[in-house]
Amino acid sequence: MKKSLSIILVVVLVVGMGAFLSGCGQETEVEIVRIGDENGDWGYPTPHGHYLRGPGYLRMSFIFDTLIWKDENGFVSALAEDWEYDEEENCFIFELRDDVRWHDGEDFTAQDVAFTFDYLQKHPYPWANLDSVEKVELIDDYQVKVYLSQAHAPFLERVAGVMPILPEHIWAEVEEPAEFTGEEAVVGTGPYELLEYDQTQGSYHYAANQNYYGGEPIAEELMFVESSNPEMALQRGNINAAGVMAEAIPELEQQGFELITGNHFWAAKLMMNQHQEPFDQRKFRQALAYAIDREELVERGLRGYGIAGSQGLIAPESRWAAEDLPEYAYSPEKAKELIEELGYTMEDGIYTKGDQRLEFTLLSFEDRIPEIIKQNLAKVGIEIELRVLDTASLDARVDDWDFDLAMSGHGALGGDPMVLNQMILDDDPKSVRFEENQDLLDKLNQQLRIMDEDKRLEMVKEIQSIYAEEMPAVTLYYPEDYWAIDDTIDWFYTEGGVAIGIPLPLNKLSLIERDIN
Amino acid sequence: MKAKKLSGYIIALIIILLLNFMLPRLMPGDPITVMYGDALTELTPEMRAALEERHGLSQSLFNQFLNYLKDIGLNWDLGYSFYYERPVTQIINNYLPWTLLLVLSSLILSTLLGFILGVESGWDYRQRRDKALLIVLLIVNGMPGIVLGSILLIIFAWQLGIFPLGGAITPHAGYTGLAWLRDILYHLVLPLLTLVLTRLPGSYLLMRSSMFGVVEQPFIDLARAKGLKKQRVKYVHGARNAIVPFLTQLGIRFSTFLGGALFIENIFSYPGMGELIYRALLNRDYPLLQGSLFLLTLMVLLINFLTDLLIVKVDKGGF
Repeated sequence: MKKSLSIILVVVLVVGMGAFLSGCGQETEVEIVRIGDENGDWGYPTPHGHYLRGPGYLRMSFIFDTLIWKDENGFVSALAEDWEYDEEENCFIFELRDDVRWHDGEDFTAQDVAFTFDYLQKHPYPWANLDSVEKVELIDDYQVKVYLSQAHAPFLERVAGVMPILPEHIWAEVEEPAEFTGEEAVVGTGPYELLEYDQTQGSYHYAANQNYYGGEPIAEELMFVESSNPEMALQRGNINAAGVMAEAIPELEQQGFELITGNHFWAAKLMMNQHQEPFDQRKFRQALAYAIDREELVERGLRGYGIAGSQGLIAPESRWAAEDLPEYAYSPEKAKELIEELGYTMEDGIYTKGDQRLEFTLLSFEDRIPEIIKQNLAKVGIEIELRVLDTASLDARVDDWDFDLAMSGHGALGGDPMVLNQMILDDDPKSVRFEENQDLLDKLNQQLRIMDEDKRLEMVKEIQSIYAEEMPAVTLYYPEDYWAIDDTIDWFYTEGGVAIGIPLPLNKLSLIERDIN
Repeated sequence: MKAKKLSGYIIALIIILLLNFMLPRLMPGDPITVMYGDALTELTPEMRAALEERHGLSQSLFNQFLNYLKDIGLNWDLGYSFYYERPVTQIINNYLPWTLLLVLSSLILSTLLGFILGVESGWDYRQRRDKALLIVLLIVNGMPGIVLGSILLIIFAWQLGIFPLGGAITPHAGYTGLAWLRDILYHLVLPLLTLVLTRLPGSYLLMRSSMFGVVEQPFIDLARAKGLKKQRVKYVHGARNAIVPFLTQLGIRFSTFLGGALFIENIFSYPGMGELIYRALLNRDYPLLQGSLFLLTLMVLLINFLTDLLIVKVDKGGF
């Protein structure tokens, strides 16, 4: 979306001119690692200073640690060495490391953890919702008990694994956390310390924390720099890693870059306005699922870089995904059958019932995919008019139910299945806001309270089944994002995405020799 | 006459104040939703309400407008950015210098170059040199800045590696003094060249046609007959009389330069007002949009005002 016109032009010109560059210089010793980013600026790297999207959180996460963290296989210890849930008392007990020091040399203790819970309740941090926390109790200097107000299954992934721990000796006096900057504001326990943040140039400069409890970081310095043409910057050797366009993959591979892709935790959805006819009919919504060739969307629309949508919303590779979901394999015949069962008859190639003709407007933020959908739907007697809007305008229309059909999409599909509640029930333009099925509502509420993971998984699978049956939105596809990396750092994708599910390979543990953990 | 002109400026200012307030808010989309976007963070209704309160969004539109006027009028305060969580003036202070550097340096360069080339071309109207210049500049003229910028970027930054791929300085290089200045110029070259080239044909064509109109006037023949040197006749007698339409355009040209810079900054990730406004637009950051647009339009008004004064001066000094 961003800078799309200039990017397309650049790509066209690049292809036209061919390529001849020699490969970039590769170092054996990692002194400095530079990561390119199209936006550059993601805010001051403190919890309340960073902008709210994932990349902002990541820039903060190199400085501040959480109680627990995730690597490519799941939860790993961070400031807490060990943790367990006590069902009787409905609390989590965290055993903290006793060898951690803040960047300014002070000792880290349980007191800091208790303080952080308290502080973030007073100054809410949208990344970690502490509503589920009743109180925090100190057992000793390195042991802390977190009592929940009611059982809350997402606690580990959404609170303990996300909430950055702040040093009490610095933040106790801070009244306006969003405006707090300077040397003290960026004292954390993480593997990197901030040297400089340049908002205007959109760049960050960090130095390794030699005393990091997880071991000395591999790269002595780390930089995030703005680069609107990351493909070119990689080839010129200006940066060591960046997200790249799929179109550039063959050339980058040829030049010795490793292309990594990790997950399908972002889904594109076709939203339907269930508050209006005929989308209020389940049968009609299902007909649309049969009518849209999702394989074609991936092959033609994404040039193969992605996978077709699973109608349970959760991506098939997630450990939370249900297996035996209804497939809705592409079948225009089946779609027509369902539409006809609803009493529509074909007139001049368009299905009609009384004075109602199946003609709809499809809102979108781009036109490649919607164009294919339009062709697909034309085959089953539904006429589509496309309208391309910017994301904010589109979301506003969807939010007000002022639309027929709309393209939408969101991430976090790899993380805690609480995302199902958010994307089915929350009052959010990305959410289908579907409350017709009481069974679904009940199960969604229940799954948040089941602390046993296996039992919860069963419930989550049932939810996906009902979702697939009700079809409040068609899950179209999961695109694949590619990162090109040189051989300096072995960046990896995190299980379920970093923190609540950021689908980027920028996990701070990539910079740590990891047999220690 | 003068009072009339001044009142015109005041009316323009009032309209600008109103439009700057209304236009961002007429766009569909709500800033808080946009800010949180697909972050999928858990924004509770209480947090949302607190955010709306903090940014004055819970007030009626009329009250918001009054506050906006009061802040600008009484305290020269452009408000507080939703997205950056900082005073708008502080943010603009960081971005405006880069745009001014780019716009002013290219305005001066392309104006000077356009002036000289236009005078030479107009003097030799329809002769070989004029035709060659005209063709070259018409080709450049047909090329949008975004294409020209991309071509320059690909050739000089990507393939040849002579200039940087983007940015205004080398990040975290810690340069000072002369090295710092060199670094800035080094980063300025490509965006500057793009803007100069795309804007050059405009000033060239204007000067050329205006010069041609003057060349045939009797006073030029008279000056020649007096035996004055060719360069003197060309620039002092000819160009001076042809310059008024050229100067009138200068004020307008300043605003087109600003517009052009917006796209060019984007190609070269140049951290100027173009980048800032573009992001403020996407983020529906009303105060920042308001403040940026207000400041830029104010600058355009000011430049127009100064051009008006300048024209009066040149006119009086004319023959």
